[in-house]
Amino acid sequence: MTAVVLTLSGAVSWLFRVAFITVVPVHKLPPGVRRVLEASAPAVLAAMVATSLAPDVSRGNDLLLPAPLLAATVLTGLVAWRTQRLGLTVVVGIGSLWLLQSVF
Amino acid sequence: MTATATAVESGSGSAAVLRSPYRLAARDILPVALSVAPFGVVIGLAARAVDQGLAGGLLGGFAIYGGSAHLSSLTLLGAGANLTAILATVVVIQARLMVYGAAIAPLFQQQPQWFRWLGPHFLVDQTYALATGRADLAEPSRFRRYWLTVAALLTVVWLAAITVGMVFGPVLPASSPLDFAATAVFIGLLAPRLASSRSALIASTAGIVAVAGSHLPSGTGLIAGVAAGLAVATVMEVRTR
Repeated sequence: MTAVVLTLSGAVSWLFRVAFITVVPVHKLPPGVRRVLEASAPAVLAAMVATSLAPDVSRGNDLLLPAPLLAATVLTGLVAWRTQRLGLTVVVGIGSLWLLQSVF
Repeated sequence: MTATATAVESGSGSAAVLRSPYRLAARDILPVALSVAPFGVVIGLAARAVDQGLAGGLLGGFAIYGGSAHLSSLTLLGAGANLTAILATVVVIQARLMVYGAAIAPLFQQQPQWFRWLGPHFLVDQTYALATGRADLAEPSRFRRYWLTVAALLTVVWLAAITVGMVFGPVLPASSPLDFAATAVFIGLLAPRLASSRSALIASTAGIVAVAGSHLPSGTGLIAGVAAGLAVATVMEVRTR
């Protein structure tokens, strides 16, 4: 059962990946549809950030997130915005959260 | 390419345009690969929990090549779900790959046939964001070298992380600041794309809806967030005509 599930899951994943690259080439889609699809990056990335933080969202407290996590998230965002360096952003994110959790 | 891509490129420095695609790929993917490693360890733990052998765990990791879908499959298997329910969940979670494929398709257009069929296997959130964020990959052979290097390095780290989870799982700490790595990667990839008010509005909508739906099962909140963001993009597209 496990092997069948993983094989079929892999096949589904691969079919989705090649669907608009190889099976139905995207240049056959209308330009408007393509422009909307190009907007998918900010939508997907924002949803991924939100989903990864969602388990820590407070309910009924003053702050949206626990203070160290909120501060580390804001700091990470600022570093990403100002430097646009992914490696530095990740290091600052992990380092600041570790430091803040140690202090508070 | 897009204004976003230009922003990312300008942040990388003009020398990046001339840099070898192999070095460029390694520099881009290594922090990303290390950041997803904790997730790979979790997958390894879940594979171990359903009594999978190391070979099976690694084959599953390579075949699905996506943490959320793989983890959901293993979790549902462990809970005794049937094949149809598991595949339906995988379909929902992986549906976004079609959107990624459509967005990244121009880079695959002039590639050899083998690459057009096999290359997309390595399309995941992070590789999609990296490749679409670069303005210097338009030349087909340059993109192919970049993509294959990214794929190889990410695969090695991903499978190594799954191995660590399967072999050393019981002695690993349950939680640490390293868990924040994946979030930091997504923030790092998102921030340069928020230069325009259009992108900011799309991202804000997606983020708010994703949080609101985060209690829903099987990654539905994530998909709802993406759908809401694309809906906003569609409305803006219609209004500009």
